[in-house]
Amino acid sequence: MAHEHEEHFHSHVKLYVFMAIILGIATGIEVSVLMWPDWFGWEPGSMSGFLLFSLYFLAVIKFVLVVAYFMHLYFDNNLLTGFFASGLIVAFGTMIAMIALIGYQPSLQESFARAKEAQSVKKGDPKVGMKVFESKGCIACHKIAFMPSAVGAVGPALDGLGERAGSRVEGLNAEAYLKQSIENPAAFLVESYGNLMTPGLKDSMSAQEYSDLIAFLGSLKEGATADNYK
Amino acid sequence: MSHAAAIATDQHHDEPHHEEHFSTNIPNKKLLWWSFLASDCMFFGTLISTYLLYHGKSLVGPYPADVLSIPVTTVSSFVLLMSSLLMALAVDAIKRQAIPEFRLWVFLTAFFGAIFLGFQSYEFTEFYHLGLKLQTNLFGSTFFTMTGTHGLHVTVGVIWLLGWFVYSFFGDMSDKATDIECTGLYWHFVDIVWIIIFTVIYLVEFV
Repeated sequence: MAHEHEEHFHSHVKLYVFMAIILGIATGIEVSVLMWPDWFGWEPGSMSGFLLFSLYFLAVIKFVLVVAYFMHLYFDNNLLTGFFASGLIVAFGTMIAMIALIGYQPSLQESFARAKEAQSVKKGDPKVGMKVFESKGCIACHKIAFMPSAVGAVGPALDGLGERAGSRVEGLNAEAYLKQSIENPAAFLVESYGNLMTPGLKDSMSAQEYSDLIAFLGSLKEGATADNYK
Repeated sequence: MSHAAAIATDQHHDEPHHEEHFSTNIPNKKLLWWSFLASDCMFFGTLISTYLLYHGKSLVGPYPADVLSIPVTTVSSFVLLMSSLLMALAVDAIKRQAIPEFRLWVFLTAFFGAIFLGFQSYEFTEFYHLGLKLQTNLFGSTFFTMTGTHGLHVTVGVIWLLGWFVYSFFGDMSDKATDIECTGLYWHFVDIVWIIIFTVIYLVEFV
């Protein structure tokens, strides 16, 4: 094989240098469209669709030039192109499939946002929780003696809730009981009351608001006054 | 005729043109390297996909736009791109059996590769000081795994090239054209992977 090469070998030095110049220019264009859009008379950020297309297009051109000329596939046996193309197609196909499929997990972004928020949640503040209790409409159904706005009678009155929450259900401490009552109210119903809790209450508030609300409910004592929450 | 018999015939150069169907007329080493590169495509494909999948999903910083530097990476990308030219010239020289010329090009290719690695070490150190570690966030782990794997490929390439440089002083280079060509294929492959990484990870971040 080596002898064959020597006999039929044509030097491609000029071609290689020419290709390198093209590759250099392509890289120059890539960087300058990005760094100095005003050279091209573009408002920064206004041409992002075209810019993305150009960047990918130039990358493909560079890729193909290196493979075809530096790696000699253009001059070589087609079998080698087949080898390389099959690997490339599988790789690219996998990439497309993975990126497309992850879009079908609608809860993903949401759960990341949740996790991010959960990280920043501070210990619940009963005073803020009282405002949440008011603003989320709990007052419409639950009575609390010291809150003039909390007059509803559809649900149980909540005075002294913090004192009994921990002993309501075997195995649930006060906080867990309060959370269960909001997230899954049907699990335990106070005698003579039906399950009329608004569904999806927890989802209607931020993690911080929820934490404050739980703190407020857990702090409720029999005979408490509005002064305790000022 | 079985495959094994066909291959044996081909290897012994008995009637080299007899069984067209089974004879590729491609040096076996070259076939090996192209099939390796095809599989390496898939390897880098998964690393780049993983980076893209987790892009924008990091819960804490630093985020890509905080640390990536286009000017620095442009220079290092350009160096790697030009090393591909030097590699092509080295392969061209060895096919003409111009050994001193081959030595020059192969040494410069390795040298340019080393410059690229220097830039990468600088970049990694800089990121580390900016608070981005492998375990900091999804960006850190996917970025370092991908570019680190590429850097490892470059390192292997530089050692391989320097090996040829040294060998050319002591060994017989008359039958090494195909071997050098295979080294060249590997080197160019490392370059094209970087062409993709440079665009997809660095440039597109700032569109």
